[in-house]
Amino acid sequence: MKKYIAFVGDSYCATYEWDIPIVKMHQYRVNFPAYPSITARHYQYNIAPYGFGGRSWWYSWSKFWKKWEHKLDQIAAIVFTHTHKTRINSATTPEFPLMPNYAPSLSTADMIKANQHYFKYIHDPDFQAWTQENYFKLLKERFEQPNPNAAKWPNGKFWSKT
Amino acid sequence: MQPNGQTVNSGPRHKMTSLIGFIGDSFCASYGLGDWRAHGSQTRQKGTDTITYTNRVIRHFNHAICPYGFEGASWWHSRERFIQDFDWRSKEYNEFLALIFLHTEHSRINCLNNNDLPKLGHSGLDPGGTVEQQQAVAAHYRHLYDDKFHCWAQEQWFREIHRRFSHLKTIHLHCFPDTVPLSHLLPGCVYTTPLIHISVGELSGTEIEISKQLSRDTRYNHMSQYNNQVLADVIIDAIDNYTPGTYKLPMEKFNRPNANAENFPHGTYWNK
Repeated sequence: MKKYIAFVGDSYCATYEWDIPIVKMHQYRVNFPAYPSITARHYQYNIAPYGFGGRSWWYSWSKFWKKWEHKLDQIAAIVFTHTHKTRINSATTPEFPLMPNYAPSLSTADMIKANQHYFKYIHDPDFQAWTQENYFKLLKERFEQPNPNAAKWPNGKFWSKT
Repeated sequence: MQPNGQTVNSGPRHKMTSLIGFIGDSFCASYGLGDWRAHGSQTRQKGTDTITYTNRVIRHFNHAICPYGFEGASWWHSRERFIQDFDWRSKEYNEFLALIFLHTEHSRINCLNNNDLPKLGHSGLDPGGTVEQQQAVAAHYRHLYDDKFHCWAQEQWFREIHRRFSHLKTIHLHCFPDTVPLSHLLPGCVYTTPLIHISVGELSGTEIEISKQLSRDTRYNHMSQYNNQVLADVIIDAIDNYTPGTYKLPMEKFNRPNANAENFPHGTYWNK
């Protein structure tokens, strides 16, 4: 079965060529070469596209994890583009603006006001930094392989002791 | 020795230490005379008797209190005040005889910027703040509050407690039922009986009457003087005979005339 390469992050991995079946809100499809598609073609993988422009790490990660948590054996590699910690960690609705001074076109006036109020009164940079740091710890725990040479099996030095 | 291989303070070590920390929300925001920390979200008991359990515990050990319980506060708010104070002063956490954590709901606003905001996120309290601040909090819950994220964040706090404080005596009390399933992440003595079941157990009336009493609570730490004493005895025993593990509170010792209290918040917890 053809495996997947996942891209998880923000707009730095939100643009794909015509090799993904659908584009969701905050994703883009182009006719010129885009590195996620080029990489997938190189390895002959399908793309699992979880890059979303203007979204937070929680938005992209939670959507990826919800779909793939129990199917990780189908994933050959995950490419993360880690976005800025200030973005609002919410995946409630794709229309809600998660960045300061930028709103998706479908955001309502009430959503834009809520975003402005959030950054004025509620946003705590230390909390945002702390949660992102813990997200990185989670990734390390979940995906770090005890044997860093495992990917070289069977044609390279796949052992960890000589 | 704990299961994770780390040693803890035991036996007479507390004679050398000087501090007992309470970190949490209004369930540990009332202190005795002399323990007062000038903060609007904390209460000092009236009179000189030892009424609050916090006061009784520190009097028993003759130690100083580090009061980081704040009314309506989120876990992040209390954590930040506690950790920033001690990291900033470069004090070693080994000064503590014990840390007593009162774990609150994950849904409160995780913000340290504004002392009023934690209260604003708590529907039962007089919100205070400006109209615009109240609108900000209402919009927060209407549009962007992501329950899964805030549950995940509190889980990371529990993991951090394990990483940073396993070498100390830690006592954990859950204020509400929603954090109980995460008990396995915590080091030390973890009591899985929510304190709200003691608090509601003291109250009588209809659902609306009980809700009003809770939101305008005049009891210290949401408990009667008698139940403050019982809880103090539990904590003192846990510190003196420190054995990490998961325990139930001895509910038969608390005075709880409302037999429906343990149905809170999802069942019939009123008795009229």
